Amino acid sequence: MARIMWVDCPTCEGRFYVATDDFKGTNRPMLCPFCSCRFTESEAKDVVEDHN
Amino acid sequence: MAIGAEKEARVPKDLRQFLELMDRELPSDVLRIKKSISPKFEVTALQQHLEDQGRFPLVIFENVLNQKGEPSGFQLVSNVFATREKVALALDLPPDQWRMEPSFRFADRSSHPIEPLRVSSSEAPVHEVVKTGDDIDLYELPVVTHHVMDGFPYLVDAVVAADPETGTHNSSHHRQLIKDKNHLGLWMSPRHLWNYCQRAEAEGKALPIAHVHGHHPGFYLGTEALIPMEADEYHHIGGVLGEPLRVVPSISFGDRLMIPADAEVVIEGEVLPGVRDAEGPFGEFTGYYGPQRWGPVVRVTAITHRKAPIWLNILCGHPDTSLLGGIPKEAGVFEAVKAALPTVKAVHFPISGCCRFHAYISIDKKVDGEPVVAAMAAFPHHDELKHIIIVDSDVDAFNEQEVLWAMATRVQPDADINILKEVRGGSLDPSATRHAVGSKMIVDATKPVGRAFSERISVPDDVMQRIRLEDYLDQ
Repeated sequence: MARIMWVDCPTCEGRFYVATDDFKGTNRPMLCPFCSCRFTESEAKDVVEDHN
Repeated sequence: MAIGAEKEARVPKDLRQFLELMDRELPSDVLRIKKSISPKFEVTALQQHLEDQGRFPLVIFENVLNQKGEPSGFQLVSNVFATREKVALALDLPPDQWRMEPSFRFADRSSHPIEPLRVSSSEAPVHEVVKTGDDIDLYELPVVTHHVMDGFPYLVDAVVAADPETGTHNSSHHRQLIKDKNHLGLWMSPRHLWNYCQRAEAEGKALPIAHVHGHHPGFYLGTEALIPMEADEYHHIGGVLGEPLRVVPSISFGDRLMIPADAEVVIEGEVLPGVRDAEGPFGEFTGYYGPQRWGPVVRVTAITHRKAPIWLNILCGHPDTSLLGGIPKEAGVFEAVKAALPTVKAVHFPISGCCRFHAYISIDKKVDGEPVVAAMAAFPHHDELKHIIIVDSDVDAFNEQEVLWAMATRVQPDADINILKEVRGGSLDPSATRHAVGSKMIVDATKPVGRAFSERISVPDDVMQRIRLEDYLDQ
């Protein structure tokens, strides 16, 4: 599977994962599936990279 | 046959016809839910409860709400593909012919394409109600939000598109997130539709597509046919249906995109060139979430549907999608193995392997070494295959307990298991540490030919025939 990184939403603190290659080191806004908040990697409350 | 009978108008295959067939042939496998239910998690929750009880009926939700919490005016149907018996029926087989028969029927039909039949808009049930412009509102549809991390409602039926140069039509399954009342997020693997999008985008053009909801299950099985990109999928879908697929020019794009006329609902739109946005996560067929991706965006241009429409929900990550994807692949693997090993008896992609990752292959083994030959022939046919267990023909490949019994009693791991490394694999396998690359395992669970081996226990045949269960249980 594509490499993933877990991110924590800065608004609702919901955790979900994104494709590392699509978002890491970019300014692309991620979309929280729990509260629809938009945030970038640098704005995430937490980021945990994993090679799943 | 009476004179004139051939001239009787045939009723085209559609979802309604299949539901009538289910009521007639498998009535105990149809569950009608009259109570109002929300598409946001509640539909999936009810199906999960049934699944937890080992029940996979075709479920008809007669009062499903839309995404605004209002009565939708739709019925919602789910689990159409959730058992092999239902898939057999969809392929015009008796439900008791559920083992290899649906796979063989699929292979036979998909290899005999039938040209589509063009009909006018007035003849197309899917054009009974047409919404364009400001009337488009995806939130009016009972689109299901399936699993916790999906977060949003997702379309999971077939997406059709025409090759931007040749006009050849393709149909494929993709996840599409509802972003707002007239936009979808689309994710696609690098296959035919992706290729169409790339070529259209290179010229700065939008690609017309349509999402096909609620056709006869044969339509979606036909969508799973593995065909060359230059082949027209509508022809192969017609083959699987056993009759021409009726098509009608789309409302938005006319002849540039032909639409299945007998669908319940069609959502027309265009993949916008150069536009990307976040999409996902989504609960995939593996039973895990696929990650959020940065994918294309679709602007919806029309929603058309029948009167009193039926919404088909395919429950991804459950047997509904496992069997839909797996059965069309079994016969292909069977033929590939048969070319190398004529004594192959059966190929089964079990639900425990998501109907993709595991194959149980039974052979009438003549010499040692044949099990590995069978597995080596199977792997190239389907790259998601990861574990292949080869059993003797006395073991029922469709009975998982027997297969695992054979593995327990006929396998010594150091001698009977082969591992292949660095092989192309499934792109959604969560255990893979590299994208679409992984290892494969061959388990030879057959008895050795060259040495004495223990005999399987059995009861004398004549006594089994003489002692009948009904003679004793009635007392």
